[in-house]
Amino acid sequence: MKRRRKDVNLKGSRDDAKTKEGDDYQSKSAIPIQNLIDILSRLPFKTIFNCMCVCKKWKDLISDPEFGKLHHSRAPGSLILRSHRHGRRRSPRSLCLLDLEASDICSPDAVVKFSPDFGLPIGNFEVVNTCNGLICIRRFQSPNHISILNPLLGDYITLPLTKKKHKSYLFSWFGHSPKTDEYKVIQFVHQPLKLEVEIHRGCLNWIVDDPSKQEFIFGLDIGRELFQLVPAPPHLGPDDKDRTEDMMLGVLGGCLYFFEYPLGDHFDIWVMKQYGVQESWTKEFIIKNPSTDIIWYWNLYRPISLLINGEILMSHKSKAMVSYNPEDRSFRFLKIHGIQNFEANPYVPSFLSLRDIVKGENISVSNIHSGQGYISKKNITVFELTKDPLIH
Amino acid sequence: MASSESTTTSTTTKVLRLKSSDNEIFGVEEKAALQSETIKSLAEDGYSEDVIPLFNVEKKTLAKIVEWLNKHASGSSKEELKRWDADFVDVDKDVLYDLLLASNYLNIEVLLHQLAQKVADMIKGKKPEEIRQLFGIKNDFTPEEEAEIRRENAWAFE
Repeated sequence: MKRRRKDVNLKGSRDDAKTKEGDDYQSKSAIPIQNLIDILSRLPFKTIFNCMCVCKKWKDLISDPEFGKLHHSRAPGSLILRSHRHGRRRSPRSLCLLDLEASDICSPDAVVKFSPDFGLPIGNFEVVNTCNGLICIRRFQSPNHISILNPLLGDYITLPLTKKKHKSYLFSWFGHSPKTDEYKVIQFVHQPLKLEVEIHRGCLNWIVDDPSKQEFIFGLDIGRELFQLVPAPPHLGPDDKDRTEDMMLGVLGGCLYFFEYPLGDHFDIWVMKQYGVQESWTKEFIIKNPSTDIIWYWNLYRPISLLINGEILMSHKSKAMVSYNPEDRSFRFLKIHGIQNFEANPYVPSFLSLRDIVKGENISVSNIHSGQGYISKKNITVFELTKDPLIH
Repeated sequence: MASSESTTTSTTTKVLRLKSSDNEIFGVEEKAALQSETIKSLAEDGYSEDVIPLFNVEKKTLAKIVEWLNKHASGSSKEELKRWDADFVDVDKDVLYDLLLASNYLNIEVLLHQLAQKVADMIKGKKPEEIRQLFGIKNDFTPEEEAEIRRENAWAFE
């Protein structure tokens, strides 16, 4: 019994031991480190920047990759909005973050605007996709390069893509494999793929646009670099292959979804509840508008996120955002504060620094604010998708 | 123990006795008390027939913790519990500290999350100096270092 008592006592003092003597706290009862990490990881990122200024200890804690991971897992679902040029020539393009869990996503509080053109010394760019708080961008002036950026921290790297002798369309995507914890840029070299690509759980998924193939969806396991067949929704048969142009993949509520642009007045969103399991495809949403407020122009709207109130957020090709309420089948047009004519990408903010994840030689992580370059000995792989996925 | 149980109905619940660091004893139904992982392992180690000593928790804090344990074992509705929890964590900073340390020691995960969220809500939107005051932290940056951090994150301080 006595031994046990001692154990308990030790356990009780476990956390006190972690807050070493002579630390920065003047308070009589310093919060144990793991509780402090827990608390700070729940804060909006703007407040976290304030916390970085509190003292050295807090700054180190926030800069730790473990904090970055915990914060990212709790950070609110958001969108990255990239404005198009519009109106007068050379109007500045902006990059904004829209907090989808804000009480009112149309209020100024829901939007964080990064400085005009974001100070990137790489000219104009478009957003390709986002992954774990990092944004993959393509520079208009330099189609053979791709940059990865953390807009919160201002860190970025630029990677060269393979120059092709043949003039096939180059298409790249940025992804992460949770299994191997690796980040990769995947470069498509062949054209025959439909460019509706989504990263989901470490797999890149796309619609097979080749009419001579029976399959509908293919995937690439980013970690293992293996192609795989992804089961298609059950209603699709060989006769449907000629409509692949109208088919689309995306991610909603953590699941891969599929839909076809409608011929009629509604469309169905199929969701694969369990990735890779054919039986788990479920017709989850039927988007139908009883009035004629919205005409379903081909390729105009696409579901982009589920809002916490149960509505489906859809982005318009270029102009607006609408949310659809499945209960009363109503649409709501959303005017986002301070930005118009934009393209939206799902995004979750992160404090993960590229300095902590970049592997490879001769890749330097730069910072927009300080202009400093950090040479890293590690590597983000550029993986070339040269093989025909259908042959293997 | 077995004989006393046989004389009553099957709804009889066992009561664990928890002792604070300042020697106050609290009787808590087993079902409620076992929400604490620390109490659970102590009970499994044979303390359950005896008084369970909690060396790191004072009686005023233990009283609050016991109140929470009982409420969360009472079968209240989710909405009711949500309202009750909001009131429970609506206490001053020092009490919140003590509760946080106690629930960390007692390893009550749900309560820890609630308290961490409450402290986070207190920090939310505050400026560095306000946060330092809240936690009694000394600023150990030189003015140059602090200016550098602010410059790097200029957009965040608009």
